[in-house]
Amino acid sequence: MRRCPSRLLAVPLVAGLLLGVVATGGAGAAPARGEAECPLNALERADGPVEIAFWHSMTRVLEETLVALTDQFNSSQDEVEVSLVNQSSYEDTLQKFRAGLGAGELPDIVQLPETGLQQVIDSQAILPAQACVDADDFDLSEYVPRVTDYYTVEDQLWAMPFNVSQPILYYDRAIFEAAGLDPDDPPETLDEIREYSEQIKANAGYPYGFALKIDAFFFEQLLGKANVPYVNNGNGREERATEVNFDRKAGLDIFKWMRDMVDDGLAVTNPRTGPNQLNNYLALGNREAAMTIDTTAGLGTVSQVLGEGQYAHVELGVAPMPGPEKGGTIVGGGAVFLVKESSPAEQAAAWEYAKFLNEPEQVAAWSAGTGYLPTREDAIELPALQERWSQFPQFRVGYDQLLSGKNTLATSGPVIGDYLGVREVIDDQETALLAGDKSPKDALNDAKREADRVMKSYNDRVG
Amino acid sequence: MAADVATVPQATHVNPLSVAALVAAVAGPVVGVPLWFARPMYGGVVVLLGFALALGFGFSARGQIEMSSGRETGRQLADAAIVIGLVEVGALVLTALVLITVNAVLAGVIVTGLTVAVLLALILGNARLVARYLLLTLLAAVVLFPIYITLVNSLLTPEQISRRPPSMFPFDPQWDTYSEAWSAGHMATYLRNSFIVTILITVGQIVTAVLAGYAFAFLQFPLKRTLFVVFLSTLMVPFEVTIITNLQTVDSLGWLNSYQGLAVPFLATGFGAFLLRQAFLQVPRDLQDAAAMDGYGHLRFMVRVAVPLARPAIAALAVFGFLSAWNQYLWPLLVTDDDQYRTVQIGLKQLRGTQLDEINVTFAGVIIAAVPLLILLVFFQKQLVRGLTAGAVKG
Amino acid sequence: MSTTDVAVPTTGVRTAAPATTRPRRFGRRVREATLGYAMVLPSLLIFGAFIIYPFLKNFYLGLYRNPPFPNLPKKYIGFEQYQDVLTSTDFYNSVKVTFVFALLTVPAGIALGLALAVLAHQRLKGIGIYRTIFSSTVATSVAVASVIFGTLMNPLVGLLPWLGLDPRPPILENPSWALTAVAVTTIWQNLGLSFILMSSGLQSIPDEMLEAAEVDGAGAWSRFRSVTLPLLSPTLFFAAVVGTIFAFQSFGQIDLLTRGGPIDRTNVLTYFVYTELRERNNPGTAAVLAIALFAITLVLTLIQMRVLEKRVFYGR
Repeated sequence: MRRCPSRLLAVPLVAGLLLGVVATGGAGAAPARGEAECPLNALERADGPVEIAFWHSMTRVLEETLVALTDQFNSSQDEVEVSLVNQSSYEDTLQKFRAGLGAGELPDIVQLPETGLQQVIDSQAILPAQACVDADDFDLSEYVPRVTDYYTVEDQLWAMPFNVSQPILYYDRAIFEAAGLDPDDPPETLDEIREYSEQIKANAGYPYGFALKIDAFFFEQLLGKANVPYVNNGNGREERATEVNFDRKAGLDIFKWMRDMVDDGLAVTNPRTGPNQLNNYLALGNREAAMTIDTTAGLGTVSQVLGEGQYAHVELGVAPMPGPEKGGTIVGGGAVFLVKESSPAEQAAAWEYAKFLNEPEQVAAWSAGTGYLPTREDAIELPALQERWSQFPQFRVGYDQLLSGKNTLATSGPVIGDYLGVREVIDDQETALLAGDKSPKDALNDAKREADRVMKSYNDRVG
Repeated sequence: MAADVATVPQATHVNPLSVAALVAAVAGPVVGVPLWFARPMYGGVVVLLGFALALGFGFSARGQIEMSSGRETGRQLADAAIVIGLVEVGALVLTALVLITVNAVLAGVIVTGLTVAVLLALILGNARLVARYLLLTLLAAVVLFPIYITLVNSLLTPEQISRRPPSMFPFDPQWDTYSEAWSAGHMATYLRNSFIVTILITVGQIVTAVLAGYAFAFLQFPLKRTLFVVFLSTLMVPFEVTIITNLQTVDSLGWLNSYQGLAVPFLATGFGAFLLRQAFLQVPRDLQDAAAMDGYGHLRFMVRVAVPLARPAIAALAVFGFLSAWNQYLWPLLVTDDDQYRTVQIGLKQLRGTQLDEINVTFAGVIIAAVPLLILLVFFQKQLVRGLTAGAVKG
Repeated sequence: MSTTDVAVPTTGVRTAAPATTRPRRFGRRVREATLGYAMVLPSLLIFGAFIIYPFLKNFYLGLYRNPPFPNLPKKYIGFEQYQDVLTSTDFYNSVKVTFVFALLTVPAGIALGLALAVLAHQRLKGIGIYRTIFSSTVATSVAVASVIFGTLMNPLVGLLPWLGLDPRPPILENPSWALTAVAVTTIWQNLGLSFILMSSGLQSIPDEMLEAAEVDGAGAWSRFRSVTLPLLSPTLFFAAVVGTIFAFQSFGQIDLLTRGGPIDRTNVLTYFVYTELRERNNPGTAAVLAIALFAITLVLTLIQMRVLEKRVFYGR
């Protein structure tokens, strides 16, 4: 880690400022651009082990697995010593990374969510993984193509895939049975979710059938399944995206479906953030609804919580995400990025560690330990994962879903600068829609207008 | 003389209603509660009757005594009966709350009985007085309810908390939640940090305010008026307006996640300087002259004479500084992201965020966070009131 | 207050001071001035570094457009950014929300505090207990109040939904209700303070005035209206000004309860500043918003002082 000496500028300035003089801090110089190079051999020249810091956002079981893998790496060789820094959430990591860019306190390798991709590229502080892949002749052929596609922008692989997740349907098998539904035949389309919800409401005495989290993530996923690119310019992969592309029938159908589900009392909603963000899971336990859609990242914890203690009555089932089958779901989760600001030896060390995490054995161990999807096809043959999957078949659902989807521009997922800003716009419009304030058409049009504005504002700031 | 003598014999003439009221107040629970265990219905009736009569007789006795313009006594007896009766009402309300979860019918009986008893008291006694107490008690219950239910919930299991109808009393208190909030929830660390930062700020504010206030009150120097205006004008700038650059400053000093980062920006307030200047200006001039005669310098005069005389103002400033420093939210949120330095307010946010499946721990955290100020309120109510009334000038 | 005029002999001494002491007196003046500056300096340093400098720097920061990352150069765009921010719908919405929030919290808070204070302002046995209870919410911080009310209003474990206050979507996510819910939390949290202020205002009203009115045959309500209220007007005025300033600085309850949502319906100015600064890493726009926040509070305070002061009865 690099640390700049703290600048003690504030206090001496005070006297001058009292007289109303405003300091004029000059604009900082742009970081040197140029072809990224991966300093592979810097590690050999270094004397003694190179210490590097890895910022991650993994908690609980996920963190334990990561610690075990990292210990294994540290003890397997004496050139690189990795220390883990838990930043507790993606949001915090991204924020700290951004702050670190100014203060000079950066990690050497960092785990960031899929939504941070364009921002990290724009930060000009990242060594594209492609540079090291090329320099090291690293073989990518065993990877699930959708995964590497996701992190490829303008023909460069920017990060090493690490924790890949998928949206899936969670449901209560016991209530399906009580409602006269076949628990082995979960809904596959949005219309079926509706039908099933009606049955659950009518026959199982639940107030709702479906717990709908107001989260733009599902809107993106459903458009992916409808094979509609989310933004323009090749979903933001050929050139910087400037406009969203969801203001068409596929988008309108989704908004209409949501609105009808809520209007007809079939779905209960909860927000993506704040104290109620887990209520869609808890709705299953609290006998409010029997189905919800959320990411596989929560599968481990959810299967622990639902089915035990006060929620022992839940018999958790997991199925692929329902929706149109024209395209496929989009890769979610996060990846590890190498930091260009680090010294050559540290960059090389970070690459070594990233490579280690990407070996089939580690991919299998990581996936088996956490429930994240394996990123390589050769990893699923390994006993660690085979055992886990035969014991808990739920953990396989996401992977199969990822493989079964089509490989198109739409399913490779959007790349957006202010991705979270756009998500907020969608969340807001969905909220307005579902509170009955707006018609689906108005909400969609407003979403388009606002999202375009948010994207323009970000692009202006970068430009 | 004669009048004095005349009142003495009447002092022995005790209003009979007062005596009856007191007897009823005491007899109700004494007879009723043991009976309750054997025959709940009869026991309940006796208790209800007891305090109903206590209140009824008590209030009407007071009415009589007041109307007879002091010729009858027994006021204390009536008052005692009323107070005991009110305590019994409180106890019964609590019991009713408790019973809602266990036995709704019995709770209903008690609530009906309470209503009847209060009506009885209204009819028999001084209706306006009863109505006043009733209103006050009702409002007190509304104001206190959020805190009460939080306390109850902190002692329940998550399962009991989500049960409907809700539990209004912890029959099987889960004290573990407190130790969990204390250690696993880091409340111990958060509290320590809050105390350190709050004390740093409070002491700092007092010191800077005493110094500046003294200078403005007693010393002559060029630009004094201008500087005083500058001090006052800082009151017009809400802190929220300055966070952008302050965050950069604290960051560039390397003070993120540190006590100095949390405290230093607040070590001086225009309000404090103003308050103490006003207090010092009230120090009699002749005292100053006398001190000068004795060869006191300014510093000695300040420490020995001015500061002791300004003690009420300093206490008010201390309480107000303590309260506002303790309750800070935005600034600690901006400058800390490490549990080692988070204050209790931000700790609550953390606790709530991470303990979603253990909501009782969050409730325990809330109680732990509120206790220090509750203690402050109970022991320093006078200073607190003075500090707040003076201090609300500055947000 | 001391109104002694014992100081006369010293003035006499001063005027009679012989010329020879002048250098010494000059020296003493310099010493006194030095001491004065030294005593003012600690406060001044803090004010300079953490109030005046950052306040002024806002005007400068607002002239620059910041990239999303602090390692990239910022760009001078002059007053374009002021114009962009101050004419945006987000800003307009935020100002509206802030005003509505103040309107929801300040009058209701004062009225409730006054009602409790009037009720508790009587000679009754045990009134002290009620007074302590009514002022008890002073001991709750914004965070404590917000977490308590947040859980009370939670659709799954909260009591309010169980009592039937259960709109869909849940109250804190409901565009029509969220701001009211935040306001109720705020009113409860400030009730203790409001009660204390009003009580001490009431206590400063001389009993004789009320008794005189009673003798004149005025009923309770007309006594309250024609005697108590006018005499209490300085307190009410003070509470209105301070309450408005408080309301415009509210942040914690928004952060803990709604995070500015749903659909920005609770995005008060302070929260807007915070998100621009923290989530969008945009000190430039945050600075413009901060200046606006300052200007609005200043204008409001001045207006309140002007308008309300005319109606305030200061006579004794």
